[in-house]
Amino acid sequence: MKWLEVKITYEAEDPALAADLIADIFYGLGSGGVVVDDPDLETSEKWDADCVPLPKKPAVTAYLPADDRIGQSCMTINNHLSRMAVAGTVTGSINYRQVNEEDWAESWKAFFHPKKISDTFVIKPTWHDYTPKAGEQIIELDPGMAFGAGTHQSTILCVRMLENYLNPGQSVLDVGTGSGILLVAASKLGACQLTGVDVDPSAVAIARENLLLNSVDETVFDVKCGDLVNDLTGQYDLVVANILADVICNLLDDLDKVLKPGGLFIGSGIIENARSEVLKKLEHKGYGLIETLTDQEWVAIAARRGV
Amino acid sequence: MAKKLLAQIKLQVQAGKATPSPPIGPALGQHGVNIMDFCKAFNARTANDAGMVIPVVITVYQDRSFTFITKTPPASVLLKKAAKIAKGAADPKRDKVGKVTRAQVEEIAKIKMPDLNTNDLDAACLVVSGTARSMGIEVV
Repeated sequence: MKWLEVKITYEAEDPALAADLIADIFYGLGSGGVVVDDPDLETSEKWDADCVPLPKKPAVTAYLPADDRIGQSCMTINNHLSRMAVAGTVTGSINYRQVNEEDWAESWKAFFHPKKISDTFVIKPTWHDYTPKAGEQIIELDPGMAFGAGTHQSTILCVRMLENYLNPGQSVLDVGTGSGILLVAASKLGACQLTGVDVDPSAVAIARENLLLNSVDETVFDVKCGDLVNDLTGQYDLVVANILADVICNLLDDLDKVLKPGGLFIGSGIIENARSEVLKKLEHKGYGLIETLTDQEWVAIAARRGV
Repeated sequence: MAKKLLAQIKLQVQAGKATPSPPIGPALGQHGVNIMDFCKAFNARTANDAGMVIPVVITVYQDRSFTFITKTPPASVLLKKAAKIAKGAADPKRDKVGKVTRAQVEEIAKIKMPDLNTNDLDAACLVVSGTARSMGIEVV
């Protein structure tokens, strides 16, 4: 897919208000967000000469899909802007630039290198060479358009929890599997039956690719599209969910359906100020807390279902 | 040693719905920011503001790590929600597209106070009323 970058550079008495009004035009066209060039942006840290300079003029930039409605959208933008100019709120000029989806999906990868994330695991993009040291295992993972590039604190905490608590031969369910990284780690730690579920169909496809990329046998894993555990049957020895605190709290209502009595639950993606909420819910559901791990503002929790 | 600054980027993104699509992908990708990490953290922090557009300022450091702060939703977005309208008027002098009460303006002013550099509720109300007028929303 191609996108049209529409940048409106403007002058206005109240630049902040003008930015909101221009952004409003883009929201009316279905845009989910905008970039705001703010020359007056306050910087909290020292702004050295080698920093990317702040923009000289205020501007609002949006990206619209370059499909058959794009002509109509451009006309709408033009009309709104002319009327704003007449009303005297904003004087702006529009710049268009075509952007390929691949541009940004690839560009940030140049900064990505093999990274040791736990005692055992090294995450490595396929385009890098890395020779594992004694005791190290490699997870091949190309960061792409799915959550779980492997370097996020919440993912690393989950991997460490899996190292601590997963026993070889156990079955594992990964709720909100994203890139499938946790299933790959579980497989390398000896899990024998792996199931992943994600609400995003593209994540399901990517997780499958990543499992195959890491030589996980297709007969031992299954990745499904679904909303939490609604469409799942069967119970697992270990359930891991690296999502967000409120989603984990919802999941806990149905967790017994998919977790064996005495089985282990690992919840991560929990922001520090939501920790107590999740702990309370676990206690209420009769789960025994085993361990919490924290890294900066992120918390992971391991708890065992009552027998 | 303090981290060394590389760039600052200001975006407006729907709460809880950040994805690597534009505008986030192009805006952050060019600076080498791990786009998925940002999306996850942003979605976590804004999970309670569903339906709102949230301004966010991302600070990128030379090692490509980043932090970000979220701001209060734009007054225009809060006003549209209060007036139950989809968008503001293109010509606010002629078109009146909706109404909000003084109480609603005060409520919005209270939400906006942290970002308005004032502790004076009346002053904040004036700013919000001004935004309403610029969008063709009457304060009644």
